[in-house]
Amino acid sequence: MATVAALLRIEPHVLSGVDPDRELVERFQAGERSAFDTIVRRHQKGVWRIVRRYVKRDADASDVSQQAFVRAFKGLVAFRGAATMRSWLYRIAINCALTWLRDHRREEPSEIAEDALTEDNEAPARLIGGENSARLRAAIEQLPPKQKLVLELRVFDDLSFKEVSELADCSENTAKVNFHYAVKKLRDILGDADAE
Amino acid sequence: MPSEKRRGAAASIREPTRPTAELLAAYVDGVGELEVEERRRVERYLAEPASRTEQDATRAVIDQLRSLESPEPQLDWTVMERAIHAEVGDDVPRRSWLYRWRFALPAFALAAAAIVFAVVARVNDNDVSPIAFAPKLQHEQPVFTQTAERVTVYLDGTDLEIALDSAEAADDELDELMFSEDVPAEEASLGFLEPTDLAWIDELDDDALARAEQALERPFHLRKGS
Repeated sequence: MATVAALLRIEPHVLSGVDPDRELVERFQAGERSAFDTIVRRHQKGVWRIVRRYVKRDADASDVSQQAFVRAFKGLVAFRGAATMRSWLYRIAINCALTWLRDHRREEPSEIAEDALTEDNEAPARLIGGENSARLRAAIEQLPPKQKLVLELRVFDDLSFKEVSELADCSENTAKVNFHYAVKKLRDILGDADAE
Repeated sequence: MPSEKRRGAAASIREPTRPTAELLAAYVDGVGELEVEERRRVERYLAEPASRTEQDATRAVIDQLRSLESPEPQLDWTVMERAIHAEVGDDVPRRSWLYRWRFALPAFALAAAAIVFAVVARVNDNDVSPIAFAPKLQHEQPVFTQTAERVTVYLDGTDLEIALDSAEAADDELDELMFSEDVPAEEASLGFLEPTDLAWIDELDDDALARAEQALERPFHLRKGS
């Protein structure tokens, strides 16, 4: 199975359909508190990165991530595994980030937007690289919001198309098609820049 | 342009195996996540020599994207971990009793509905079958309130109700007619035979009386002239 997965360039759990966090969830639901600590250690960076796309400051992103984990702790006993635990957790993180944005809109009206993914923010700009990377970063910013969301979830968060579709509220096929058009648009933008 | 897209989408619905480029990036980045049919459509598209260039260009962009590294934030992750632990506490939240019974609840609800339905049906049955469950009727004796002034008589096949006052008055009038010496005999008899007209019976001899008695003893239909 691992060989097949390697050949197909996918993570084994995508092929097997088994949630890699399933065991942790079951242990937690059975009353093992330490399983949640493992979940936090495993996913806190990913959750923080997702939140950071919405929230401008690192410290705020940490606070919102913490809120997301607290909400996940309360809801995990009832988690039934319809989606993967990771996409469920990321969805909670996005909801927390949106709530945070609403609550702080008046405090920072010039800096915070309802849909941070459609706005320029610092997170993608902090992708490190040379001149090509800078051009690529700029090109990503020009993508339509939906395509940008799908591309970032897929590439920067390493989510499967199924997980991307769950977070982007669309079908798996739509996520795949949006990913294609996002890449195609990046090619066009970069090609135009080269021509100039 | 959008209409072309729509036409393309409609055509791809009609022809599931129609070659497509729309899934090329997904094919390049994770072919294992494509359905068999989706993979087949992309491979049919890639069978065209011109599409190879596009595949290479797509792969180049995706590789470039994946080579972009997101800098690790300068955060102490253990601090966040400890903060989360402190906020949620050491106890795993318990599932509510409602959650534990979530599979049984529909069965209970169905059973309750069935019981209610049965009770309602039983009540309705009672309502529509009075013969089976009707209480025995107590027949009371009819109470006749006799009107002081009227009496029912049967005359010539007809029920007649006669006021007592007027009957008594008629009787008195009749008596007056019959026994009054001022009234002529024909008028007092009201058309019936006068007692004096039956005097001939007294004049019959024994022989005639015997024959008359014999004739009366015979059955009515054998009598002469019947």
